[in-house]
Formats: sequence, C-alpha cells, structure tokens
Amino acid sequence: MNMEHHVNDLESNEFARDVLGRLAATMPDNPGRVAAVQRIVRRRRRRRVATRATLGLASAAGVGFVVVNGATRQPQTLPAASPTVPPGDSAPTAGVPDTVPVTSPDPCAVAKATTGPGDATSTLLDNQGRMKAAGTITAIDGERISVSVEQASIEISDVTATFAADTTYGDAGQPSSGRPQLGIGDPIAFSAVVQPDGSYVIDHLEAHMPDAVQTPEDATKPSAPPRGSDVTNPTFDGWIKVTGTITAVNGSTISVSVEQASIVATDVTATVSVSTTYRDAGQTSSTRPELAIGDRVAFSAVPQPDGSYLIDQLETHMTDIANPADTDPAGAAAKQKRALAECGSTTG
Amino acid sequence: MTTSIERVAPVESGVASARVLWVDEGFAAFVRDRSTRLARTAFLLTADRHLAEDLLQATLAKVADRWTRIASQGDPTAYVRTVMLHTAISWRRRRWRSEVPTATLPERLASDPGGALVDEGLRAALAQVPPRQRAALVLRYYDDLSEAETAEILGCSVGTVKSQTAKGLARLRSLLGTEHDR
Repeated sequence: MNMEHHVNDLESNEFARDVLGRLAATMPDNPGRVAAVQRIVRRRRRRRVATRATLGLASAAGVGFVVVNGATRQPQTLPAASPTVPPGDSAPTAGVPDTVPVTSPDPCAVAKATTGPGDATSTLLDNQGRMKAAGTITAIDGERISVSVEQASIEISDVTATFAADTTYGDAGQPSSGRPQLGIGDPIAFSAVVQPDGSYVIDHLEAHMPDAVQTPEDATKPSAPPRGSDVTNPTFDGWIKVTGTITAVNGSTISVSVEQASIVATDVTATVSVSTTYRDAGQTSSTRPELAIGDRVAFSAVPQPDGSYLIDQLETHMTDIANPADTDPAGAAAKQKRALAECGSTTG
Repeated sequence: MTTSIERVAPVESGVASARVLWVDEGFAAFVRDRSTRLARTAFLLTADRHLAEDLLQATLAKVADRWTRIASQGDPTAYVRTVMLHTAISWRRRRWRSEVPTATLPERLASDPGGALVDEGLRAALAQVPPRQRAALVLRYYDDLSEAETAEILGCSVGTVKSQTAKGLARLRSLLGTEHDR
C-alpha cells in the first residue's frame, strides 16, 4: 500500500514537473530586460525625488503658512489697568497716531470714538492686521526702518517696517506731503498693515511729535490744550482725557469710572483746582457745576509730579459725545427712565 | 560583489546600446544570470507571458533600490522570488478583472507539429488553478523548493503547503484530463 502511494506521489511529482517545465520553456527570453528594468528604476527614482520635492514644498508652504499666521497678529486691546492703579502709573499714550484701544474691547466702538475728519489714522483699529506702534528708530535702511517699540497695539518689542508709495506722513503734528527727515533715535509713531508674508508696511507715520514719547520730566509740564477744545476727544497728546461716570466725590476730588480715556485705566481720581474751567451742557460755566455720583463727565487733566491728576477742563451734562446709552441697553434703560421722570415732573 | 554605483555599458546590445545606464554591477549581473529562470517562474505564476514579463521587471525594479542590502545577505534569488510572488498576488488583487478564465479552450488543429496548441492548453489549464495552489505547485515542482521553503515564501504552514499542492495538482490533473478526454 505504502509502495503504491509512494509510486503515485512520484508519478504526481513527475507529472507536475513535466507539465510545468514544458510550459515554462515556452516563456521567451527578453534581451532588453536589463535595460527595461533600468528604465523602470530610473523612473521610480525620479518619481520618488519629485514626490519628496513636492512634499518638501508642501511642508515648507505649510510651515510658512503657520509662520505667517503666527506673525499676523491681530490688533489687540491693551490690558486694562487694575482699578487700584495710582494715577501716576498710567502712562499717557503720547505719540501713537491714534488712540490705542484702551478699555473698550470693541474695536468698532473705539474707531467710532476716535474717528475724526482728516484723521488718516483714525480708522486703523480694525481686524485687518493693522497695528500701531510708537518707539524710537534704531535703524534706517532705504525704505525700511527698524523701531524699538515702546508702545504698540500688539505685543512686539522691535519691528521693522517698510514705507510704501501711499504712506502718509505727519511732521511735528502737521500733515506732511513728503517723508520727514528721520534719524536713528528719533521718536516716531506709525500705523502699519501686516502683509501676508509677515512684514509690515507703514500706512501712516508721525515724526517729530512735540509730545511724543515723553520723558518723565516732560510729562510734568505738558503743553496746554487749546481752550475750548473738545475735552471728550482723547486724541490730544500730553494730557489725559477721560470720559466716564463719577463714582465718588470728595471735596475737590472726584473719582471717575472710565468709559473712554487716553490712558490705560478703568478708574481715575482727579482734582479740580482754581484754574479748572468748566463747561456745563455745552456752555462755558464760570462756576463749578454740581457734581454727583453717577454724573457723566469728561475732563482733561495734567499729570502731577506726585502722580495725581489736576483737572484743567471739566465738562458735564454733555450732549455732544458718544453716549453709551446708545449702545448699552442698561444705559438706554436708565436714559429712558430719566426721560420719563423728567417728563413726569414737567407734566406734574 | 560591487556595491557601489558604477557606470556600466548596456548589457544587451541592440535595445539600449545608445543609452548610458547607471546600475549596480552586481544587480546587472544577477539580472543577466537569473532573469530567464525568474521569468519562467513568473510565467507559471501568472499564466500570461506579457504579464509575466511585467511582473518580473516590476519585481527587479523593486529590489534594485535595496540591492546592496539584499546582496549582502547572501543569495538574493529567494528574496527576489518572494517579492515576485507577493507582487503577483497584489497585482491579482488589483487586476481581478483583467484575467478571465474560460473553460472552453480553442479548437485544436488535427496536426500540431510544434506543439504550440498543446502548450496553450497547458497554460490555460494552469491559469484555472487557483493562485495559491498554483504558486505552491510552481514553487514545489518548478523551483524545486522544499515544503518548508515554500511555506516560508507563501507565509503559511507546511501542512497548508501540502494541502495546497495536492489540491492544485488534482485540479491540474482534472483540467488536463478533461482536455485530453475531448
């Protein structure tokens, strides 16, 4: 039985070998096989190199995209000062061509509040990658300047920006048709647009500003604001301008919860003096109007060496400034309540 | 064995004699010496001459990039055969519509002095053997590998090789017997 099985196996093996060998012999040889293989190898290598190059480019583009995204920092509001910050610690925003957003997180509100006719930089606080900075020139290279930033709307310590053909200039507080003479060490302020590649292109530059980047000594003797100027406009440099609601009255000192200011503060305490001028409901007043907690006031003040603020001009019962009641539902309700009360007293 | 890339002349004249090709000399020698046998194995695995040539070239191109490492480990024939088998299986998965087995063979002439039609009948019969059974048959009876070597290449047990071989052989016998009965 085993012998028969073995014979069958051998026959099967021989059968398979015979069939497969006979069939395999019909496979023709290919004299160009080596060359064909070499062509395939070369093609595969070229394709691999191209794939790697493509992946490299894609990776580089991806990294560049991330870098550009990282560099395209949106303008952000400066951190608000703590409520207990002493007045002297609140540095004026002198030198910045426009008001850096201080307390309002709404850039539209700030832009609205700071927009003025002919002010080229008044609408810069948008979300389109535009930044503002003030500082000192550290290098000038043709169309590029490097600035050591002292104050900016983004977190940056040094910036290199490029002039553009449509860059506008201000020189010594006046619009300038040409680029002012700039030198290393000059204090400047500018607004710039962040480009897709992360660079900055200046759209407005202020140079030789009278009160720009004040030294402490300068801060103690600022130039006087023009009489009758709108103290609700916080864009005048050298003084602080505050609009807010009185939270405390203590003799000649008032504490104001800041709604809008040219400094970074949420609360400001200032003192009226004999030289303070007043405006009440839009009219010049020779006497100090009645001030009560909850009254909205606007004032300009001079920082004093001891850190306090001395009010130069104070206005109350304003009707010509942006009223937060227009945008604040709670304020609107209060306004409506007051109007109803006034209406009731009139009819009564 | 030369492991560096050297500039060599085309090994086959008439096809690429005008080209300057860059290959590993050892690899070129391997192709010259073994490709005929490998081509026949490829033919038995695919049961298609053109597909066999493509399979062999693709296999050689695959191993060319790793030739230095492959050659340093000894005779690369087994490795190349394994790559070819796996490539054939993957091709079969991708080209499942390209091969259409048919039970009806072309009519035979009364006289076939060259035996071409007989060979064609063998090829068609082999093509109808399932791929793994066919691979087991080819490795066992054409490449003369042991059951253990075949099992290693196929990635299965020796017992599976035995059963696959037996089934494939029975299938081939059956197909050829049917053919002979006609």
